Amino acid sequence: MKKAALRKIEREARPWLFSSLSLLTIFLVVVFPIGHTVYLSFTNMGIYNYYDYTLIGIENYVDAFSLGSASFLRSLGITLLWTAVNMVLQLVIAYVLAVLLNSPHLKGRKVYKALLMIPWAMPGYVSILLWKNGMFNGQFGYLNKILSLFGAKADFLSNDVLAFVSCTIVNLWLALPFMIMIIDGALQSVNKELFESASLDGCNAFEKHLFVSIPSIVPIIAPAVLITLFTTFKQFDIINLMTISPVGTGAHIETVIVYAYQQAFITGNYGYSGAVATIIFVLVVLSTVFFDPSFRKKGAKHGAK
Amino acid sequence: MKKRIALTLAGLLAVAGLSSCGGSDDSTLVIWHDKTDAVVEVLQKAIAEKLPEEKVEFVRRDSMTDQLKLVGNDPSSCPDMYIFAHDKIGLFATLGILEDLDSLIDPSSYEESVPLTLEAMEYEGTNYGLPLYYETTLFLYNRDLVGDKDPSLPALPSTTEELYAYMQEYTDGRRYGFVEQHSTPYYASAWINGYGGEILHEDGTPGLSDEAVVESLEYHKKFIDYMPRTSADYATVNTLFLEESADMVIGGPWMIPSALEAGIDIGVAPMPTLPNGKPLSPYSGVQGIQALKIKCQDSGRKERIKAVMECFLDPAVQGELALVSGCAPALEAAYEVEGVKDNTIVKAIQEQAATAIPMPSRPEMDIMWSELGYLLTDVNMNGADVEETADKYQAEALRLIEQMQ
Amino acid sequence: MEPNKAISPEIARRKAIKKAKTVSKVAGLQVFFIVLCFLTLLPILYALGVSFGESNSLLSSSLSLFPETWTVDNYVKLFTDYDILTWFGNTILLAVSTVVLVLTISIPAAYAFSRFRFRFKGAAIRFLIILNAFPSVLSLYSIYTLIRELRLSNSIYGLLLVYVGTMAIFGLYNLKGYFDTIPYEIEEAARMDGCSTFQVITRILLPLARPALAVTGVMVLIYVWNEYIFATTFVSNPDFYTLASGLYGLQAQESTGSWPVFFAASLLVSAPILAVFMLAQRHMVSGLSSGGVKE
Repeated sequence: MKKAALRKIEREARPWLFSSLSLLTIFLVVVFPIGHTVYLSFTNMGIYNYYDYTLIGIENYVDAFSLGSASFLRSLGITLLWTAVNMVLQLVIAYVLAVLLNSPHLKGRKVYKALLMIPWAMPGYVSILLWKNGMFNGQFGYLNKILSLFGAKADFLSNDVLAFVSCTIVNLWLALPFMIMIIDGALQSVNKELFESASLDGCNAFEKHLFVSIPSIVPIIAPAVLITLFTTFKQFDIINLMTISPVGTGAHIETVIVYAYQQAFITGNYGYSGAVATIIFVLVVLSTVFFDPSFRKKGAKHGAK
Repeated sequence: MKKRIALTLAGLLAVAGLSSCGGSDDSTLVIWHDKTDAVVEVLQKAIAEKLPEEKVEFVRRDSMTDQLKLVGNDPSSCPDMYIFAHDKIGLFATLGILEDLDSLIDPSSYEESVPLTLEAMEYEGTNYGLPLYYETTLFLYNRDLVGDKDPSLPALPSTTEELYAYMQEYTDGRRYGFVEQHSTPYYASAWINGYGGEILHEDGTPGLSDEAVVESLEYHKKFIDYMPRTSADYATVNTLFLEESADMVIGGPWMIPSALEAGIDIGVAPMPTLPNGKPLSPYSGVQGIQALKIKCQDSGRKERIKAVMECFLDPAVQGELALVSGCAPALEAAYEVEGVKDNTIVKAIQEQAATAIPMPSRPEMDIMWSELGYLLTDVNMNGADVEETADKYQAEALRLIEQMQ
Repeated sequence: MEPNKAISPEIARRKAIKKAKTVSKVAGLQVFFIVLCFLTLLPILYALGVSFGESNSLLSSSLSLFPETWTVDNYVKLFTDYDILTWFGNTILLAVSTVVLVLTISIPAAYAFSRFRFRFKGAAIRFLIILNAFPSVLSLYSIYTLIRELRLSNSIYGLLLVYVGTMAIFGLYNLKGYFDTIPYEIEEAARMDGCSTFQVITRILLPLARPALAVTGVMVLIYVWNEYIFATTFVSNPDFYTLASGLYGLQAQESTGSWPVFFAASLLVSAPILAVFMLAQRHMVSGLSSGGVKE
């Protein structure tokens, strides 16, 4: 009896023992700072109380929802738009390119794949600055050099819509390689026979994609898509470097992350920005639970019990 | 198995490698700065001559003020001293990370400094820094393109209206009559100050929607039609001037060395006058050296910091500093140094300083810089309505300042 | 040698048309991809041209991607005016250490999450995924507080800890996903032969999971190589600058800005990581897309 209990304890403890180092590190570097940020959000930490801050309750949250609500809500809307537009474009373009890369008779596909992957390995902020100053710069950007052939000129980053489009282009440039690779890999594991039997059944090319290949790759690419979704949502560098830092360009397309970051660094108000960060985090958790099927399954199971 | 062992070994090796170069040397004094190599060389030479035994390291920091906010109270990360413009003194004094200068250096040893530099280093009755030199922006022009060097050249505009006419006439796709960093607050404030506008009032309230500010922005707007609209960063202005694609610019003295190197025959003129009869009045900034409180807690270290600071009280050092930086020295005696007195740039800065306005140094200024930046980019680059936008950022600044408390 | 000479001219003609159609379709596709690759690489090619050009090359109105006069000055400057070799050394040291440590802590953890059944397993994984969604730039101050309290600020160890912790979730998640695809039966056979868990992992699982290990390693490497926010914020001693933080400091700024030098540095910094990436590329698909397939 005693032995069985011991074994049970051992069995329970073993997985935690195995993962202890990993979980401990994650706790230190990820969980603790998030907890600490949440804690700060209930304090008055700012430049007047930088080292001797005290708890002040939910004041920062009230501020976030009332005083800054207009810009905060606007940044929320932009975040949604940004995430949606980028995810849809990424998936569609990556799928089309991956299918084309897999078309028979195509020569040199390995070379194309290798070249198309290059943006992935470039340091992100370097790429962003290359785009900003090499391509979009209103004075000597390459795009303006091309436009000037037609006697035109564009200020890509000063107008909200153009700036949004420009940032989206940069994001696609940075993120598409990963997505192409994932979808390309998934396509190769799709059962070729299934595809052929579909053409025997009289499906046209479009239907074949819609009803055969897409459904069969969805489960394979789902985790990668989820990761990309978070990355897109979290994207900070592009909008910050393209339109704000070091000198603003006149466009206002701040996402919530950029907004919260600015709040912290301009006003030095860490309590307030902690509150904004916490609100963002809660939103992320809620939307994850809402969108990720594995959470709902779990919930359903619990409900059934 | 072997692989695992090899992997672990590699890890241990790497960690061992790290430890061999880890840990900073506590005995070295560290000074953060954002200056050019030439400036640093002068400072280093001064220390080497006067304190041959002392070990001082100059570290260039970008976004230094953000860094100091973060690490200002952490002895393992923060520097012993830093050199920066005076406008952040209020912020750091409020954070409580600065050492009172009077506890380091006897005020009488530097009281013979240009008054504006002394005032700039003071915040709420306490001296926080030792002024080294001061600077303003200047109206620079290419003497091969404009001015009296050659009778065939167009005359140098003396009013902003003449400047505007000049821009209309000479600006085409490849050449600009006049270029400035029109949407960077530090530069654009010359126009605002010229109209008598105050971004931040003395009592710490924002003034973005004040009539004078709005009026100046309205007036300034038309000039932007003849400048690169969105690329108004330093690199663009500098490059255009160096390439002889801009006849006139407003720029800091730090633009001069590269222009001379590029063979530009550079001229300095008084700022043009606005329709109200007043010249454009840029901000003046005083560069000073400040000591971190946390590093001064150890009395031995404090003595060393004091000794290093005293090296810079030599008029010869400040004079040389002024020459390499293109600014005007703080110590009156430094103006007697060979080469300083009749230096045209130093003289120009001195003259400019007469109409320049010292940058406010209250902690609220941090907010005002960024809100004014938004206001400028919205109006100048995005074509937003001046009054409406000014009201918007005035409200935002009020909110942020309230939140700061 | 035609296998069937009796083919009717009509059928032959149709075949020829079909072939011609395929050929033209493929040719069109070929052109499409060549243009696409060119457009994708345009910013890099442009930077390459500027980095080999003189300081004024940015202003030239010509559309040519090649500089009018070639010079390597901008590259030489990196070695004479900046401590780029120190940055390289630090980055390599940090990157390799991070990769080794992430793999060392993630392998047993991934094994546990893949092979053992235990309470809170599903919840723990979901929790980790959600944590990964929190933008660390918003907890920058708190991460700094941690580093300071551990007395690791302004040292390369502090950065190492942050990098390992940040990538630990990815390592665990990706390796677990790959382990899941390796049938348990293989392991059982080894256990029958008397292998311990440690031996099962090192002798059976790891050799099979080589693609996943490679990919995890490369992803960690890329992350460390390119990370600049922590590297610039937590380390002020220039002896510990990484390539990313050094390069960040090179950015055009008042009085020192030079785009050609910055572009030269950008390309120089990216070159090694590109090489590693290309070498690992054939593993990438198998090591990533199967990662976390089964949850």
